[in-house]
Amino acid sequence: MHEPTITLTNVSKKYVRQQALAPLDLSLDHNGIVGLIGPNGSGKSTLLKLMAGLAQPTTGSITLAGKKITRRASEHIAFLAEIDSLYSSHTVKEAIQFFDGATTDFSREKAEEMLDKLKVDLHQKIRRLSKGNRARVKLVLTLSRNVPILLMDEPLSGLDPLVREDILKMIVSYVDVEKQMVILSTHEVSEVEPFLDYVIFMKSGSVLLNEKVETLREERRINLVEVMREVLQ
Amino acid sequence: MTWKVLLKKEWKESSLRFFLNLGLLAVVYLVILYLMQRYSPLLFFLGIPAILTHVLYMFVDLIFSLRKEWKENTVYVWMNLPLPGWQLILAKLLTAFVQLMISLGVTFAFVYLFIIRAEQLIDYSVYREFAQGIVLLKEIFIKLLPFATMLIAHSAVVLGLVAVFIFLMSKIIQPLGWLVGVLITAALTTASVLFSNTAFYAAITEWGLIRTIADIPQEILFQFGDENAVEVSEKIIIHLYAGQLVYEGIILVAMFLVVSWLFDRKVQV
Repeated sequence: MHEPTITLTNVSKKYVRQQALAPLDLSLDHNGIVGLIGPNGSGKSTLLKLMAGLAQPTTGSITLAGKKITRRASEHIAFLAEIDSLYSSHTVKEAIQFFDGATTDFSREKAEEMLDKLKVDLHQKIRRLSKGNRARVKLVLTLSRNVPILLMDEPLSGLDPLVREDILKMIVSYVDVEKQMVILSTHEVSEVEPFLDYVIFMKSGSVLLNEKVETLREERRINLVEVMREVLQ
Repeated sequence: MTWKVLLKKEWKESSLRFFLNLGLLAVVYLVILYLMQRYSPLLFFLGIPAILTHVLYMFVDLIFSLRKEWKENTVYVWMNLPLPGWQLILAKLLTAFVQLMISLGVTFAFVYLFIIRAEQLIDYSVYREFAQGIVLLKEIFIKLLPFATMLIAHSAVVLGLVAVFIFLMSKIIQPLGWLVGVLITAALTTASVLFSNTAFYAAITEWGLIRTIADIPQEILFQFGDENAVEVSEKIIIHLYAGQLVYEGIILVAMFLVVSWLFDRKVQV
């Protein structure tokens, strides 16, 4: 896996009459865990979808290692949606088989190992799983893809503290921060702060800050929650 | 392995729809059989529209299939699969096509059964003067079966691709992308019909005669008593050229490439 470089040049996104993203320039070329933080409607999901090639920018261009990002960037980018997106008629085992067969970069062993640790019943239908277990399975299937970029849209949203803890543990344990870049959008700043290497703050469709967490702490001598308050206000 | 899981997933996701369709058809056919028995053997004609509606099978099925991906949010997984768009769309088309052929096969079998039953019942009914017509119709039915299957299958695939195109357009241009898709389809269909009436079209397609379907009984005489007669004496001659198949094949491939390209490059979740 090479060091990924996602470059957004003058990228904006408009849905009919609503401006979701103001024209922005952004370059992401570092492995590690990146927190995409901002209030609801700040454009986080739109930005992630654009980076995954699941939406098209209204203006500007997005490239991955110099190549225009389209849906085919899925060879290098795994996308985790905030909402339930697995085929509900599959059992957990069938979902693993599906990912294993449909993606060449999928590690079945890794998926089974994670699900075993999480004690998820492989024979249960996805639709019959609890919300927490559906979120766990969804994350396991995404993390089991051996791709340089993982985009996770609100992986902690609407989940109870135990599930959130499991999810963060899995991300930290199974992401190879030397070789992979994870961009996860979240509101739970204090919860993810210890694991973040970089942070991007967004508000009203604009990127307000894109910085290394360590640099922020050194320069401002405050924690990330306080930085967020300063930046977003 | 990739094809196996894609086709398995498509089959699983559409199986409820498919079996509901078969169940509904079975009910309709049983009702027709009952009506034939109870009222008139000539009611076997009600089976014919069931054959013709299969032209729309893939159109409806693919719209449902794509709509389901978006409605149930599985589109996030589906579109993030690291596979070319043509493969993902072809899996849907193949599944719909196999289901179409099964449904069509069942329908043909039932319609043939209706004709046989009508043949048996007609001698004991007040409509016995139609007996000869039914015998001729059975012959036509058997002779036209391969051609009708090919024509329905081809039309269904074209309409299936049209359905994919219109649906994808609705996800590319918002709002009213579907309308743009319908208008583009209408314009291209008109252009295609006009083109097919030109000498140039004839020149490029009328080569390699495969078959002339002309030995269909040219007269179906339905006697209505001694004085009235309805005579169908139109000559039915159908030439099937290799050139036509190549032309239609190229059109299908072109349509498929366009929708695959749109899917990979323009469609939005």
